[in-house]
Amino acid sequence: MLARVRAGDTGAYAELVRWHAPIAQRTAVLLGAGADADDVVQEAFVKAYRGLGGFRDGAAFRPWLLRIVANETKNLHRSRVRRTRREAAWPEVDAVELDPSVQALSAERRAELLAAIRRLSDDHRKVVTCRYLLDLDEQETAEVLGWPRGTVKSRLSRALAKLRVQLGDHPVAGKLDAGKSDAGRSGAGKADGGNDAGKEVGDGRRNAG
Amino acid sequence: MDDEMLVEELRALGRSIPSPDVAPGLTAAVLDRVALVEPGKASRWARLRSLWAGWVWRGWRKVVAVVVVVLAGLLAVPPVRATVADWFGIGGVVVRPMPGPGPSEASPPPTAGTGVTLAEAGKLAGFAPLVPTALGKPDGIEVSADRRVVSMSWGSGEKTIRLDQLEDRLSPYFEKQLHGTFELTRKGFWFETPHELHVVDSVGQAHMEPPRTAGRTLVWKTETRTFRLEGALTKDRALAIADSTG
Repeated sequence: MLARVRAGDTGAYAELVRWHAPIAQRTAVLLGAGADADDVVQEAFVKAYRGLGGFRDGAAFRPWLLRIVANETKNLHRSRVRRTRREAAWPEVDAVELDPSVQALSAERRAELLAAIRRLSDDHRKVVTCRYLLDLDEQETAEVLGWPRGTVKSRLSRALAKLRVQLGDHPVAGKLDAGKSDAGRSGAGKADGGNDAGKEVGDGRRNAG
Repeated sequence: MDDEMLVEELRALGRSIPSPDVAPGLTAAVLDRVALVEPGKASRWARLRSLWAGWVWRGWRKVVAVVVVVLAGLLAVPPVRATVADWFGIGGVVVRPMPGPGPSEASPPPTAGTGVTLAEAGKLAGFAPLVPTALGKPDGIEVSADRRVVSMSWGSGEKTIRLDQLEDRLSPYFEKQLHGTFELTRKGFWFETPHELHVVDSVGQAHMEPPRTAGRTLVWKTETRTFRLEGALTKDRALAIADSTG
């Protein structure tokens, strides 16, 4: 496929775009591109095409592409910061908008988790997003975020510790028991804490920008 | 609460966040923008940087070109502007809802070969294959040509049961073209109706094997592995087999 693309076959690149667009879009949204996600994804695919010459043969295309998506999202944040000082980097995911057919968690628990993630620092939120919400493995997470693997590991462990502390006061509201419970359909809690996003920025180690 | 439980909850949260729609004109817009650019020609610096990669690449190009030509002949390439917004996936399996009626019946899944032992298969694939205790020792074990999938089968003919497992979550391996619906079970996705099964490579190109119509299938995943169980099964039996797998 990449051989065809490099030979100038744009139809082959269309196939690549078609295939990877959903995960690229999901990554852009979860890393905080918000309403600009469409532009971020389009830009990333154009840059990926132009950068194919530097793509290491035999490497995996997806983390490479997602790295570009992550960088584009970061650039977007920078220009937003310039424009408006700061906007929350976390997407406005609301617990009530989550897919009720995924019944593993109660609505209340989802709201709690979302609020806790929103309160994390940027780096901690990013690593939790890539590793768990996007379900990338450790190596992919490292590649997408451009951090050494050790940094991913340590930040992940700190992020989990923080989440645990935040959630520790509350009993587990929804049991992980997909398919048996109808908890996902019961009264949906509203996520809160959105305004706290970023308040802990700076407490993560910044040894590997 | 312990980390493991929290991690599982975060993953479940991630799964419940709906996939955002991809802009309908994305592919067309990207193609318009790259139409006048050669792939890989970004800037002088990028070109210099890729020079070495280019040298390495050229060595392989002839081999790849032959393979691509052969594959291209085997494949029907789907329309460029097919919508992708409604695709979804679980582990190494991507499901693509299709319009219209689907195939009405499926043949039993192919049986696995008998050339390798479990240990050899594990060595080839790079992970230790799990065997469901509910089914016992498999009658056949094989590893896909690209070593990404270990397959096992039990029984033969109409009664064949086949289990595929793969660790590569980076790129989908199977594409299911589904005309009907599927069911979310406590373990994973249950497909009751016949559907077309394509095998795809790491960049999303259908390859090697012609598509076949698959029947009842349960797809589930663990942290690193995707399982696909297919054959003469009821949903409950499939779930019991899944429960007994590692």
